[in-house]
Amino acid sequence: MLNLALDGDQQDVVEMTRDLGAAVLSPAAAATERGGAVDPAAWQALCGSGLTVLLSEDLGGDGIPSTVTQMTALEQLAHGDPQATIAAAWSGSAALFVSEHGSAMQRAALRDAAVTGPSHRGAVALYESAGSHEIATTVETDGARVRVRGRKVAVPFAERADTMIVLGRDPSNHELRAVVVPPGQEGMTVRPRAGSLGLDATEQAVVDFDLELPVEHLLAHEGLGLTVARHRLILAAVQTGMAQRALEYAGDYASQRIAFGKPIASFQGISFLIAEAFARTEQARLEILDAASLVDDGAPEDQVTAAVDAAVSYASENAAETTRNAVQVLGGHGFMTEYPVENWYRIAAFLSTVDFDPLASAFQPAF
Amino acid sequence: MSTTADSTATFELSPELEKYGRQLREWSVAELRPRARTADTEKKNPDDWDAILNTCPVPLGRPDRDDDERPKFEDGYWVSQLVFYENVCYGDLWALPLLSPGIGHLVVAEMGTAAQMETWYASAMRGESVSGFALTEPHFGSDTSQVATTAVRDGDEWVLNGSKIYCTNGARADWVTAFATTDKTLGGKGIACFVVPTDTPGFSVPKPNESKLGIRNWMTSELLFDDCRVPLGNRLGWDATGPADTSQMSGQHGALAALSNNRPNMSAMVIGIAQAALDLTSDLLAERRSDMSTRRWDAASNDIARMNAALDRSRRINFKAGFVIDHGAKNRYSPAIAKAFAPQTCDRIIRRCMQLLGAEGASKDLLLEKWYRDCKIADIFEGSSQVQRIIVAREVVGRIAG
Ligand SMILES: Cc1cc2nc3c(=O)[nH]c(=O)nc-3n(C[C@H](O)[C@H](O)[C@H](O)COP(=O)(O)OP(=O)(O)OC[C@H]3O[C@@H](n4cnc5c(N)ncnc54)[C@H](O)[C@@H]3O)c2cc1C
Repeated sequence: MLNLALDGDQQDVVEMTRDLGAAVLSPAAAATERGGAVDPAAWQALCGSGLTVLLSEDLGGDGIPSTVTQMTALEQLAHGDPQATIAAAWSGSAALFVSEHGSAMQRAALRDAAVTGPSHRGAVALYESAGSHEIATTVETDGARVRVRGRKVAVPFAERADTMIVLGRDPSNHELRAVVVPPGQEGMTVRPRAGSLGLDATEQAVVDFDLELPVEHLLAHEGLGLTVARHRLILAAVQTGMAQRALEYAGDYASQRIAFGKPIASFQGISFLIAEAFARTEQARLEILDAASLVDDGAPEDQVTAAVDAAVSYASENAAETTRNAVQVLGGHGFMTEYPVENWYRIAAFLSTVDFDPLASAFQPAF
Repeated sequence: MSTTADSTATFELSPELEKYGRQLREWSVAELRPRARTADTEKKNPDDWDAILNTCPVPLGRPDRDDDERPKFEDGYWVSQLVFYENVCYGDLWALPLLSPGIGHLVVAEMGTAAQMETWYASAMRGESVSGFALTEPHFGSDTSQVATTAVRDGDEWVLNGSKIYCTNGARADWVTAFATTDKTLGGKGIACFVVPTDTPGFSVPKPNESKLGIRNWMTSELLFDDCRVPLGNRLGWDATGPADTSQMSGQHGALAALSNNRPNMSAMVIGIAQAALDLTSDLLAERRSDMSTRRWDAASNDIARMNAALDRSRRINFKAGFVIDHGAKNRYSPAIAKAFAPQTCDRIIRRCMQLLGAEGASKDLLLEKWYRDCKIADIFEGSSQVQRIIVAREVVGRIAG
């Protein structure tokens, strides 16, 4: 039976995360951007919410929320600050991989690692030059050893992650594999961080792997595809929360700014831009909800992957275009760093490069 | 392909202009591009910019030199300008403000008397002075009828009061064309334009440069006019005794006409940058070909072909806009279409290029991310794409289009 209503708990989560976004994350966003590192108070609040570091109860966490709940929460948090939110969610996602797929020993190590503490950082090394598609990194098991070879991009907290999960494929059967790589592991080379168009507080970098570890570092691979799908949806949810914020911001501005004797919101050249942004953002939200519910239902992996591919592509395209519209609506002011829209414009475009698939959309000129 | 004898239409440039463009482009890649990152980070021109510009093998038309006039081509002045802008920006656009006299002289051309043309227009065209265009104020940009800066006549002087924002080159201009109202009750018709040399008492620059998304080394200045006095004859269309014999164009119309002519240049600027992004991306992808599946390689190749086609489309309408001005048959729609199309298209091209390369495409190790930030301005200044659409709509259905 079709049901699009959030349950009572989910509604509470929405309220809590929206408040946290407005009261804590949004006011700290400028400091996070300026400093190139997530504001400590914002980080603490995010980790304390139980919605970024996903840890099962036996590991001292709050339990693992459903994918639907998680994505709904991340969208609200990103409405406050997309940068701090994705930094914390990407970091916390490493704990989910261990919670879901770790051996007793790996889980015990995680429990002892104080993952919700202020200085703990996690990383999931998934993306490559071709996004999450055509993963070329190999994870080969040979008796008691596992060998990891490949190159990952946009690895968050690459230089200092305490828990690093590396995704690759087993060349013998092309199946997904995940390995826990200890900090400072020999054979792991972090390229110097040059900085990017945006999102520098995620401290992301390119990492080369050519290393061998005892096979105990391998995570169990049953259901790994679903966890990867869930991880990829983080990006889509953050893009969508940011798009919502940007279009609201542009809408407020357009209601105040006067040109040709009227608020510019009264011109269809502006109101249609905002309407389309809102419409696309709502559709992106539903697409994420659909994909998230498939993950929660444990739907067949092919079906989940197709749904996530589509949701990620649409959410990123929407965020890039919606934040552009927001800059546009603010005119010259939108181009100035005193206003937050130019930062959202950079973040959305940066994120749109991370999990991109040329097969999912085609270039379109202005008209 | 054979052509009929009476078919003379062609988009082909004269070999001389073609060659000039190619030389500019090669120089821009060799000398301007390597300095682009630093200009962006430090938000200023390199200290040795003069020496850098001196390395150009062809004349650039520098305003600070009198032996650097750009060659004249049979393709026409405005068409040649387009070739100049595209190619000189292909390396990077940081140096552009150093290579252009600004756009103040274009206002003089629209509104000035013969004597004013001789003083201000000619000096800019000879490359002897740099001008700023001071129209925008905090409360308006697109709606130029809202000018609140005032000009009051006091004997044989005009006294200006008010502030202007976002004036490109304001902090380094020799003079600015300042738009001010002489009678607020007249709305747009009460706006006049004044040439204000920047050493005039009462003129100051409270903020030389804003903190911006892109074009960070370009000066975007705030200007203050505080009882700033200029002679009567500094009002465009006037001489020392009062109104002189000119077309009687209002300051609002003069501003808009000057901007209209410059719009295709701004499109050419972003076409140059987007082409650079696309060429770089094609090269980097070619190196990766063996790592890509056939399906994705084909999708990426199709995208690149579509993006090149979109740039060619941008150039055609631009050349039409330049051609019609050169031939005295100027229309309103060509420059407006050109500026409505290229900026947004070029933003999307650069973004798509970064996407095709994955997250590294947006890294500061490459210039794509800078170009993405720089390019955005073209859809904002000198008339946004919304404003351009209004101009085009009015062409089709008249003033009822709002
Ligand atoms: C880097 C930079 C350099 C600049 N250089 C100069 C310069 O040298 N000299 C100068 O005078 N100014 C300059 N400007 C200012 C620039 O020209 C203005 O920012 C621009 O005209 C837009 O005006 P605005 O910012 O006030 O936006 P607004 O006019 O407030 O417009 C806001 C939004 O509303 C839209 N809009 C307005 N009216 C309508 C309508 N009727 N229908 C539909 N949509 C509408 C606009 O397209 C825009 O999207 C510069 C600005 C920047 C950022």
